[in-house]
Amino acid sequence: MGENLPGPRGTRYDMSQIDQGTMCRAQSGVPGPAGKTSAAAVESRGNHDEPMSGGILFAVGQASVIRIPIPGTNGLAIELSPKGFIPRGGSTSTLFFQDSAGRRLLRLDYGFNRTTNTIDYHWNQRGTFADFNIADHSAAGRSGLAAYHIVKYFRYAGRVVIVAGMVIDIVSIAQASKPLKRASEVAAGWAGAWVGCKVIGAGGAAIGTLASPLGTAVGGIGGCIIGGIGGYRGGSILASEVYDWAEGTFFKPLPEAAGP
Amino acid sequence: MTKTTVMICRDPKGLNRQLVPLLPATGAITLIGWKQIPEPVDGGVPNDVAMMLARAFTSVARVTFFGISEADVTSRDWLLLKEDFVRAVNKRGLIGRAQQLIDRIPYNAVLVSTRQAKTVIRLFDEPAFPWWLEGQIVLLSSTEGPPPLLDIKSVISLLDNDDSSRQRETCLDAGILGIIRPGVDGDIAGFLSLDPSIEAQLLSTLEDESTCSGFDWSVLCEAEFGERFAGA
Repeated sequence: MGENLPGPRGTRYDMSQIDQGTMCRAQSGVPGPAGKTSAAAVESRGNHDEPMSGGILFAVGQASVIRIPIPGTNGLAIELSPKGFIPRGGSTSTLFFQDSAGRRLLRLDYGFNRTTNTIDYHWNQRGTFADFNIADHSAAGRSGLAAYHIVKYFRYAGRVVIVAGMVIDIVSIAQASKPLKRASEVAAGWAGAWVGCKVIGAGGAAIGTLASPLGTAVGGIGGCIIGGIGGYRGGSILASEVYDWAEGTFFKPLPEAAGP
Repeated sequence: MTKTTVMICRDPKGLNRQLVPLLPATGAITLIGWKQIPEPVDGGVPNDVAMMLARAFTSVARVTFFGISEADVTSRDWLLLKEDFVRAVNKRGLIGRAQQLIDRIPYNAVLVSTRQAKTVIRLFDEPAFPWWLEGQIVLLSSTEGPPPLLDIKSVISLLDNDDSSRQRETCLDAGILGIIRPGVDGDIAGFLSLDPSIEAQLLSTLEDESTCSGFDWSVLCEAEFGERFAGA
């Protein structure tokens, strides 16, 4: 036995009350078959979902492999690896300020120091005394110890991170609905990250040099990461805009004119 | 005025492991150190010391080391170029090239074999095989003989200090009488003599050249050497 009386619904004086405040104030779904996503819905959602991007990982990781220029030092740059052949086992240094050949360099080293007659963290240098005022075998102190280990782990972690960023970017190209557009964004992003790292990293290194060589490293690597992230983002956006502009551009043939 | 002292320590028992860790213990070892007062601000071998060492090395032996050739050298056999012999170091095949890139060996790297002191002095200032980062090796062979007949892989193996029981025999078969390696920060050299005659000749010549250069000469026991080498 039912509770309601027979007859059309919604016309009775005792109809159920619906609280207006419980309704979601959102755009209703696009008409179409239930259980399938319409093309319009995909387009609508695509405007809100960013494609998967390895930009930040790439920008952070590249700081471990790129040469970050140090302005005013006649060609020195921050690097985390030495120049030239090193026997198996590697170098005992982790942070290098060196020219492109590796002839002039200041490096943060751990090992026997003939000046202090002990094994410690110290600076070794050739031809950079005028730039940093640090003589060969100068002790690096506790800050040198901390920097040595941070740089040591960042050198390895950075290489893993940059590969991860690149893989994510490549996967995003494969998964994109417009792979060519995404590839353009990624390529421009990488180029932008490289430029951003060099420019902002150089600025950071110049500011940091005012404090100490470790300031140079912190400013340079920090600036490289910040500049890299900004450069990646800027490069990607620019490439996207250019792609959209080029894709929406049509060329009309000129009307033929009669010859003279 | 700079005062320079050249110091020698023969048959160190343990100091070499700290100062020249990459020298294989397959022969008699001698440490060659130098000290300048006042201390130079730049690392590596001071120019006057480098010149003295180059003259001494070339007086007693043919000297072979890694370098860079300005000429396009592709031959893996010894080639006479002006007054020096050279041979290419580049590895064959894709994997070899990749390994070379990983090892940071430039495409124009060569082995140089010479009796010219002005050529030898380059080995102390070659950033592709940095003496100051222990990335260089010096092979001494007979003055009368040809450049050592050692393949590149074996030379790299010597540089990497691979533990090989046949290393001594391989070197002697190739005509190598002694090996010199840079020590810690390039501030010291370790000399491994595979033939007793070359050790005496080199030490005698080093003393003569040091005296000619106006340097003091000291042959020290291990403890004294360690003290003098490290003292401020």
